[in-house]
Amino acid sequence: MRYTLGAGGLSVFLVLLLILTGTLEMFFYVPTPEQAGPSIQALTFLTPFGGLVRSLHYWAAQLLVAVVVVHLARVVLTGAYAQPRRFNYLLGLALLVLVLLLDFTGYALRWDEGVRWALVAGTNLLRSIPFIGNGIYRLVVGDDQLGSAALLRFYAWHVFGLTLPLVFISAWHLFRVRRDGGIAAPSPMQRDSRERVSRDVLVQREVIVMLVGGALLFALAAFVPPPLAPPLSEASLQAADSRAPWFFLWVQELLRYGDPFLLGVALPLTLALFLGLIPYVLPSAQEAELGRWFPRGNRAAQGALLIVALFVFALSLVGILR
Amino acid sequence: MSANDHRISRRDFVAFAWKGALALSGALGLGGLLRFFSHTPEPQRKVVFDLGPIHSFPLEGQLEVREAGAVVYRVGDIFTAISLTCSHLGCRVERDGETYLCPCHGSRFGKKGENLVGPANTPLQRFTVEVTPEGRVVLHTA
Amino acid sequence: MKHTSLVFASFGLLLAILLAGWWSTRGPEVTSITPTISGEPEYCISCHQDLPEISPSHPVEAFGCVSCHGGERLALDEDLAHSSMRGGANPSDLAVVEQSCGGNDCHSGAAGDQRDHIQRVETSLQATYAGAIAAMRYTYGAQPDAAARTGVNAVEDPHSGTGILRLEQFIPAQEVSPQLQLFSENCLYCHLSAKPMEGEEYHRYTGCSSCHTPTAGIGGEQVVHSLTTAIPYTQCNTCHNRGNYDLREMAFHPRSDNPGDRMHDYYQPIAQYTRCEWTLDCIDCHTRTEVMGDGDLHSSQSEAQYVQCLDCHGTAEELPRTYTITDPEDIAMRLAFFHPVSDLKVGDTILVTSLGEPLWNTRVLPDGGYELFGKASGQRFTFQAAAGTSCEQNPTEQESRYCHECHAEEH
Repeated sequence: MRYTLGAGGLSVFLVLLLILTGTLEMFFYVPTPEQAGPSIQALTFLTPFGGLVRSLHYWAAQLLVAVVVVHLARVVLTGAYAQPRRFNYLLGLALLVLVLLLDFTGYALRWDEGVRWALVAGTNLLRSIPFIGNGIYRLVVGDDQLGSAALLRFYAWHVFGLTLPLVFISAWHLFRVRRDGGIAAPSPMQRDSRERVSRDVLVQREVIVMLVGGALLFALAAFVPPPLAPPLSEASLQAADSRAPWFFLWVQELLRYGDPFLLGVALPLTLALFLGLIPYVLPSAQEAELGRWFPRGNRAAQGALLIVALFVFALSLVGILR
Repeated sequence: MSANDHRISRRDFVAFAWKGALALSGALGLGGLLRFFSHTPEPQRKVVFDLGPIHSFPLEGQLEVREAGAVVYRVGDIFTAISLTCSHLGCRVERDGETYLCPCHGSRFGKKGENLVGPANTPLQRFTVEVTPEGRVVLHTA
Repeated sequence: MKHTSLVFASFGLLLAILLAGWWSTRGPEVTSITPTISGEPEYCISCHQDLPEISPSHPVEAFGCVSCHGGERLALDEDLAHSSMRGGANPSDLAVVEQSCGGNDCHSGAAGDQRDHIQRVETSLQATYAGAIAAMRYTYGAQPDAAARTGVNAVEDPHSGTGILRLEQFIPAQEVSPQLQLFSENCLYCHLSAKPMEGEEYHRYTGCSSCHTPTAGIGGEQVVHSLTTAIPYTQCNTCHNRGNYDLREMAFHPRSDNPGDRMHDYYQPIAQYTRCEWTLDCIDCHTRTEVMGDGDLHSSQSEAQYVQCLDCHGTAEELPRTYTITDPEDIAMRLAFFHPVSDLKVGDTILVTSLGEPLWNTRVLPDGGYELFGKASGQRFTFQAAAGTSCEQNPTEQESRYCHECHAEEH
């Protein structure tokens, strides 16, 4: 009998929760430099359950990054990306990128001293792209330096510009799961046991993961409030935090060692490309082992993923320990 | 009929023209979208800073102008100014003994903004300092 | 039971939601004030409701908290709320005083209107310490004369009446003489930007609060949230009369006792004091320009201090200067308003110093005598002019030391 980690289902649950809590926050948040910080403070401290809504949104967002990475690892380490699921794997990678961008734009909306240098360095990284760098910077930031235009654009990206593709691609991704024959498993002829885990059991398992995950999320949201620093202003510049958000600590660490474009843009893009090519370039698992952990057929792919994961994890650890 | 062999059929022409029109309108739309996104308001950043009368500067001293992100040095009659914005990715560098250290990625610069250590490979930008006929010191960051 | 784990998991989630909901309603009761000066609600008093009002002239309904202290007005989290406060707990520290107490309608207004308190304090000797620093540098060869060139902070005075247009910052590390280094380590505890020495007897805040927040005798841990112009002599004595400087060792030798009886314990032995000096508060004689500065940079206390006995008592031949108040907006009326010790009215005749500063806590009595009310104590004293008495002092030699020769009691 196979089981599921429920990571995919949990991701869907977290996205729905994020959309709900995000919509609730939109009734109070004001995306201008003068009002962003005060509106978040009013929501957090003065609105009944406002702090809880914000905390849920923050923790669901951070958990989502962790859960989709677990899901990606699971897919690669069980060989489940093999044909006919290769395209769906690419859709999933696109979702990963969207989730990271959503996390970063959401983080920027705080417009407080905790995000100041992350925003400056992150947007300046765009400028380092040859030929089109300045153009992309102006597109993203809306001006030749960070200001009210940048905040408004990040808000637009976060609420709709990135969410709409996320919802669309998620729907497609889920549709493809069904179209490609459900959870990856060998065909009945190739299995030892003729039993197939029933849909009811799978769904129940996923629902339990969602419920337990939800309970943990609520507990976390209640007892560990999300960070909030004084609003961005000239006077408070000295208090600014120079650490990148946790999911980009590895990039910040990389940037200490050389050219910003090569290390901060080209290398991460190459890693993403590398992950995307795995199903097309490296050997896939045999159908008989599909869905089992660590099948023999795609050891190279597993190794590749683990190397990338170790690389990112080690850099993040160094960044945390500084 | 040999001339007709070189001519394209009506069907193919219409198909080609239709695809061409779609492609053209797609390109126009994309171009329009890019122009839409590229509009920026007039920059409002302050670039001129009046730092006071010349005699308020110690003869051999320095002044950090936080608002401008710069530090102004005076040696005798000569004023120099360097930017406190790291040349790597734009964070504000901090004074660390006799050098400037960037907290974001560890670039270190000397007293005159020259590169010492770290990923930044251009020195800190220099700004011009002007002494007006009335004897006021004015910093220009652009 | 079928679906046991599902039921338990749902229960768990429900419990978590209820717990989260209940937990998020805990916290201080949310109360706000909307001060008229800004019109924006502030939530500081949700936690600070026991804080006394700071002074009758800074009512919280008008000023609120944030206009003076800074801080995040909407935050109920301690660290975030305090993160953008000016000057830590003391917004009157000279580094931030302009943003906290300044403004045209407040304490950095027009000099002609006598509303330029901040500019006067920043150039005063108590803030610059320029006199002591100049004397030390002159003594140890760092400058050719005793005119002030450096101060604790660099400060400018473009309209100087003394010819000193600016002071540069005194940087001990750049001084050659080791005695000056020692001076900076041992002797710079008493100016308005300095943190005082350890000890209850020295306890005071910095900036405007050095004088205007009465802390003498109150332990260091207790926060004093008060502004007053009724400054008792004990506040002055957190810096003054605290001990002796020793130039050979370049050290300060503090008094070993904690003075109680003012005459016998506070002041130096073998010195001579007249009765005013150990009965009145310092501010009953020492005027605003003497203490807070006249807006000009001075090189020595002797330039700043000018009030003498004759300002109240006159000379053997002349009565003290007086003037009669005619304008309800007169500076004397404004000052007396905050300090109704003498019930000053338009039409009263009061004493005035040689530089024209009104001694608004005095009054000429109909019978030719004079009365004075202690600014801090409210006590009433009557006194006579020297003219018409048996005073024999030469009218052209009127420094207080001459009066001391007859009138001082030896300690």
